[in-house]
Amino acid sequence: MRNSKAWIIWLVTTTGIILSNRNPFYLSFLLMGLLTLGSKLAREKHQKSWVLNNIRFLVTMIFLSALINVLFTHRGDSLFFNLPESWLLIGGRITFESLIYGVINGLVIGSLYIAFNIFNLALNVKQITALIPKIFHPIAITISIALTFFPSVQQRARDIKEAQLIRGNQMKRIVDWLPLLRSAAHHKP
Amino acid sequence: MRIQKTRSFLIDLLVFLLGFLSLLAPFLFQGARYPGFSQSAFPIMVSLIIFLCLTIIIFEAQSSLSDSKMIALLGVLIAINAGLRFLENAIPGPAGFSPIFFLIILVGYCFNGRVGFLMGAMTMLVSALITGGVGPWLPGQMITAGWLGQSSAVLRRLVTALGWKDKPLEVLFLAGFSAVWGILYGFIMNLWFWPFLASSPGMGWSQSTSLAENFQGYLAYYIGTSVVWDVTRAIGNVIIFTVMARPVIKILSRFIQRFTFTRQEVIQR
Repeated sequence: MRNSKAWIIWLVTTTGIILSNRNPFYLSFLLMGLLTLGSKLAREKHQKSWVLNNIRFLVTMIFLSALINVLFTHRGDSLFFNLPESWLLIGGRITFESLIYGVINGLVIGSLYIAFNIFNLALNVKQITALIPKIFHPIAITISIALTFFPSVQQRARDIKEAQLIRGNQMKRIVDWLPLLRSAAHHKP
Repeated sequence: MRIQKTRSFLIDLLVFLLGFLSLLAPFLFQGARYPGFSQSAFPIMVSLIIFLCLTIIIFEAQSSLSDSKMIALLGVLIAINAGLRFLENAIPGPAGFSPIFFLIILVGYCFNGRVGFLMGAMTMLVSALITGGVGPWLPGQMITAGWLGQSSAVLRRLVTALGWKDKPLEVLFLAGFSAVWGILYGFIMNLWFWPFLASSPGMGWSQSTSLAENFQGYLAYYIGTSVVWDVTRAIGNVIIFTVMARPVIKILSRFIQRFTFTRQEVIQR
């Protein structure tokens, strides 16, 4: 059992370091550290594709952020080419500096995402729920009920889907899921 | 009783203003942005302020859960809504479509603003816990979904005042409201990250420009990055409300009947 308070301190510190840093080298080192820690925790939980999924997200974020910045930010001296000024929003200078700015933003966003993913890996739902202070006891009970009832909702969704599929209904329409709410209204524990 | 209601309303209003102003800081306060560190720290500062607002409003709102039946009912409804989030993949909706807004609006509409707020905020929290989606975006998601549920309670009064209860106009009104919030949700959530992601004079946040110019910049950023996603969410909301609102309002009314009974002492003569 991991100490949840220690993990909260780890998360706050890591988030602070990520957000106060715009140096791509430091961010890359930090990312490598995060991925190593994450892969160790993921191995313990038998999540084989954790590292790959996170790298995929990171690459997507870097690509999207770079694309948004290079198209919409027209600052910088190192010119790639010019887009016609008449083109709405994207018209103007396409520069190397805006591309790099986007890549760094992508690195920051990706690092934040991975840090929180590690936090989610390190602690289970019960430990995170236990962090709710005692003064919020009605909320804590409500969340506990919701988390306890959730598998039952999933089971009912599966039952409804199976029953409808047997009748030849492919469950393609929104209205097909209405029985899920009906069944919850008549739920007997 | 009246003093308590006024106090609760004032606290809600104050917290709303605090949360909303923290999101609007780039527009309103020139000193909110400095190059370098502060710009990077903006999302986390907003998250912390929003977290503070959430703590206050949840502490206040939980007083409406003093009844054990209400706690159980809300827990079940949150579980259903978190389950609906999983159905996003199963239901072939448009890109930004999410069925969770449907139940948040209807709970706020059928019960009251505080229960609606808790429904919205807790749905986001529980679904984040289940999916492992706890992140810096969570406080923003929780408070925005909470405002969605809270604002739905106003509709009830409007519908009753206009005499649209149990009429087709009631569903149309709700569908229109859900469409507006489909866009507003994305619009508010983007504010959290906009100063961080966009930096151009045309789209970004600039300390030297006026409120109107900054707002224009935000609009350009929003149109360029999010409007398609949010419009599809709004369309999805309208579809789901048109198809399912009437039967679900009946189900929730049944919930209210079953869970809001009060015990009365019978005096035997």
